Amino acid sequence: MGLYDVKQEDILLHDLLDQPNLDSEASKVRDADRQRLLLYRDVLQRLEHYQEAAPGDLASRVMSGLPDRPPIRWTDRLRAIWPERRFRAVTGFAGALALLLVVAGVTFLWSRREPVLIPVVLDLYAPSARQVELVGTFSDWTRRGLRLKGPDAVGYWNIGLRLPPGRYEYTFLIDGLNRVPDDDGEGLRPDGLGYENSVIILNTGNGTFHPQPSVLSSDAYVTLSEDDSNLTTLPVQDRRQWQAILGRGIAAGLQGEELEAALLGLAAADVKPTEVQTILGPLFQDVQAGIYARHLLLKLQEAAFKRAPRETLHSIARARYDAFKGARKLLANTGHMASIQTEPALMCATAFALESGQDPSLLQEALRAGKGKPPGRVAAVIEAGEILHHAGLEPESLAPIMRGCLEKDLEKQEIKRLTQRIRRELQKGTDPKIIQHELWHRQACMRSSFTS
Amino acid sequence: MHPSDAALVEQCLKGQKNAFEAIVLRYQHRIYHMALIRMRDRCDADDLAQETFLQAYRHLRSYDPTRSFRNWLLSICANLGKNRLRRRARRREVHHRYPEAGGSSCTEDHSRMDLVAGLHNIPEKQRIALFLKHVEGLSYDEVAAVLKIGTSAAKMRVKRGRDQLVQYLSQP
Repeated sequence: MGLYDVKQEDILLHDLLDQPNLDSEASKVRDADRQRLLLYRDVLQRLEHYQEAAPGDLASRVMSGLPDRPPIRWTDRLRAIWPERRFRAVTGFAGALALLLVVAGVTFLWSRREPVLIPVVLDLYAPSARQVELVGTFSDWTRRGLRLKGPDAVGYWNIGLRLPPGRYEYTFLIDGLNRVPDDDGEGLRPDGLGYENSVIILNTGNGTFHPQPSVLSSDAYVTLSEDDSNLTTLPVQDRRQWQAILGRGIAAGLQGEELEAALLGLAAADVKPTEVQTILGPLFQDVQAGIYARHLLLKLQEAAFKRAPRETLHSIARARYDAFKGARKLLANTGHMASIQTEPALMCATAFALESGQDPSLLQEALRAGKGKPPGRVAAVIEAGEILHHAGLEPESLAPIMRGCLEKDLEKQEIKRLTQRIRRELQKGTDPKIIQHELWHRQACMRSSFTS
Repeated sequence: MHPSDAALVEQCLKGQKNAFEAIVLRYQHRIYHMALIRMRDRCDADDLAQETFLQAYRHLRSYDPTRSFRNWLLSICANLGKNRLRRRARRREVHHRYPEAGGSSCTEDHSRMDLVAGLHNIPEKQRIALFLKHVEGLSYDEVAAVLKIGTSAAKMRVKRGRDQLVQYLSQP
């Protein structure tokens, strides 16, 4: 065996010191190293022989301070019922499982909770009407007996609803014939059929939008009177073809009930299944159609309800389909791709704005300004832009307002109030430049008075 | 034949307080020695040793009889000593660098005084590891368990303690 080089490998010295037969190992190292090793050995031997005796009365002092029995503490009691060490992994696993179940249960209950319902009262001045109904996206553009009460002494008809947050389009139907939009609503937008729909945007202040448009809650259905049981059966005529369309739609991932309701509406408007097949063809082929399928179906239902010419069905379906395609592209180009799944409101708002004829570059600018902002807030700005665009505000005035709303981080309710104020000013005929100039000044005053 | 530690503990738990006296008598010198190494002050060491036995008695029901009673006692002393040193550091007390002259100190020779001075010159963490390894004769794993550190850390503390002690004692 070669000589140990203790100086180079200092740790080896300590390994040797830990050996029980240190003396025999010491003979194998170099003289100088051996001396060092023996020096360590001597010091450690002195240390090992070093003893200290406790004071003679230590034991008696300890014993005098002790209780008769070791106390039983709560940890000891717990330990008594706690299993042996080797079973602790099992109990730990059981505890983790129980915790997981509790968390899953709470999450499930949370997800199942009823969305917040926002009370809405809609009214219409129609003193000579015999009957006024409300029709819109919340009733799938069908007459479900949402009848307004009235007229009152002045001539107003009104209806009270409680709706989940979302964006709704609607119109009043007077005496079952005349469609009249609500001028007092939040805004108007073209329906693509030569008329206008009223738009109402309901949000919960700082809360998030639900995927829109939302369906009526069970509470809201209290106001409904007509029986919807016929929705479960397709038209007898051409039933096979209708069923084939339904089957394709469900296979493409569409909601069966929604599709069936839309098909019923189209069949009631005397649209042939072959035409429907042609219209819905792109929808069935698009794997990502899920988000906007409902909106396309709603548009078709709206067109059927409004007795739109058959040739128009193709164009409006195409327009909505293209609008959603364009919106997806815009969101992808402006860094909002992730929001498509998490916050469909932004994609819907962008698509509806495009469908209304808003300039894509204007939307692109707003989306870029809204990068990093909450998608729900960006959606609110785009919706406001759509309403103001339809109210007649030019793009050159609209762009700085939309940008300003985002830069100043206005809340949804503030954006809503701002939109209403601009609409009023536009109706009065105020110059858009003056509106824009005074806008932020007044906004700042309102904010400061609110905070003070 | 002397009863085992576990048997004495069992008797204590049954209410035989005298069994604990046997334990104290069995371990008082070791614990006091460790306390002195840790605290470097005889009064503090006396207090610490007394508190160690008191705490051991109070927590006797949590002692696992399958493990070494000596090491359990040493770990109590190590923990209590750590707390005391922290309190002393907060109070900024001035402690004696060397143990005060005790009853037997008159007979201590020069070599012993040097060793004690060398020990107290070593940082506290290394000093206690060196004590457990060479005075108590624990293995590195046991040192690590008592001090609640890793085995490699225990080895390193012992190594550094040895180096510093030898260096101190080699000085002319």
